[in-house]
Amino acid sequence: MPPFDAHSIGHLYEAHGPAVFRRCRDILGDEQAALDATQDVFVKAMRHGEGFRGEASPTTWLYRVSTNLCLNRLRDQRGRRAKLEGVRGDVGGGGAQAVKPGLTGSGGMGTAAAIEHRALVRSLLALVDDQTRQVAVYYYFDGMTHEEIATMVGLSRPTVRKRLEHFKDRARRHLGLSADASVGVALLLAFADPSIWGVS
Amino acid sequence: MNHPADALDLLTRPAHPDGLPSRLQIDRLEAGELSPAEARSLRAAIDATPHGHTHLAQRRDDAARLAALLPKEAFINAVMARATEAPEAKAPAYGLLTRLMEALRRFVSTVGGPQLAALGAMAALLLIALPRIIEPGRGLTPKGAHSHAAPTMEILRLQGAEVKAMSSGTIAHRGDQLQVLIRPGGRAFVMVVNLDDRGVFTPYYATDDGQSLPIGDGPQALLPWAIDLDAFTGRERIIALLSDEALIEEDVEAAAQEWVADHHGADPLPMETLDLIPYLDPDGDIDGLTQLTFDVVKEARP
Repeated sequence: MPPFDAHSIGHLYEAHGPAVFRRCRDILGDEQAALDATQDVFVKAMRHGEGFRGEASPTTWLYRVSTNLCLNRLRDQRGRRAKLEGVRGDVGGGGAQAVKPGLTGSGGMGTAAAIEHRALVRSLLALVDDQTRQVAVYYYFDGMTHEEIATMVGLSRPTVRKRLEHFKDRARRHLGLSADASVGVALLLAFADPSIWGVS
Repeated sequence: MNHPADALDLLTRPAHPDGLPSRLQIDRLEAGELSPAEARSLRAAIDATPHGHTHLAQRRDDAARLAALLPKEAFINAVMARATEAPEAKAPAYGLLTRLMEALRRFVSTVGGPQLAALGAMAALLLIALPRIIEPGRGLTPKGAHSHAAPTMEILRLQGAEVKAMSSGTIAHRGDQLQVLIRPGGRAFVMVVNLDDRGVFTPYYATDDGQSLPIGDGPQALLPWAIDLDAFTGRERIIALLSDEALIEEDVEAAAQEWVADHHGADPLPMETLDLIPYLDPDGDIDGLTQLTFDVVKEARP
């Protein structure tokens, strides 16, 4: 099989670029960071060469890689911030500082409610372990069913459900202790609104 | 929705409204990955939901936005340029002693006076205890070593003014401070990571840009800064990956996740079988790649 050339990369860009870009933007909350991450996701695809092209579903592969790459970047951002602040954070998972919801980026990100919803979920991701983060991203950002998530991350459906319960539990406790509960409540309302998916 | 508890209950509602197919399915449809029957079924599902076509329109908006920010030609050039970049293998910037002094300075400036007993322990480690407790032949057997001297890894626990070498499988607790000592056996780089029996991956020692640490050419290196164990209880495996070229942290994490995926539903995971090398380097392309492992059993403090 020939190596990736300009033509094949162009084809990948057209077939998968928008989906990868949207996912990176949803997870990272910033368009420029998403552009950078999108390119790196495709670099990974090129480096995997035949392995990538042999995938039954390249889209599924790109979802998995873009999720991992973006969650790593969010974690690295927190790590760098902790170092800059001279904080020696826990190193075994958990205990991470929550990131304040930040409404960054602009065009093409959907309705205000969708942006708020993603910002809320993004901020809560800092409260949980890596695997729960993945599950939460697939559930809240991609709208996957438990079964789809189980296939995506290699867990059983009951474990996926437990991870989501864990995520919600941490969210409840975090928001319940928030000094300004009304903000949390307002953001949570977005969960019931179909516009969380960017539709109006 | 007058009470916060009512609003919090919204978290338990499905995130997936109106039976709308997931974005993954829609993206697979648009990418032409579905069979004709699957595609027909999915299109019918999209038509049957109020927001299905809006979803497709949103995808077209995303495509337009991406094209406006990064046109196809620019994207192709950027991706090809990045793909041909070799990961930078950094030369050691400074020696072990300098790194240790820097770690001590950071420790003092970070934790301040109340932790001076622990600082004393680190000083004892450097000046007195270390030469006595590190003896040739201790440490764990490496996997994958071929042309280099056998490397070893020691895990040292700082307890008050004491420094003790731990044995693999030892029970540890939240707040324990560990230090890693590596004898690289001639390898230039090391990355130390942790995977616990839930499948949570944590990098311990890597550069800020996510690559292996250059380890210098000395016979041994005490890695900078101590590891503070968190509240997790269960089994964890600390893994040191030594190599002649810098590894990429994302690749190591992907290898760990592949291993986790190969153990569908195992909870807890069989940590004693964890070996990253077949996942990280299935073709044996990475020179000098060697894995050292150390198991820790985390228990709640009595």
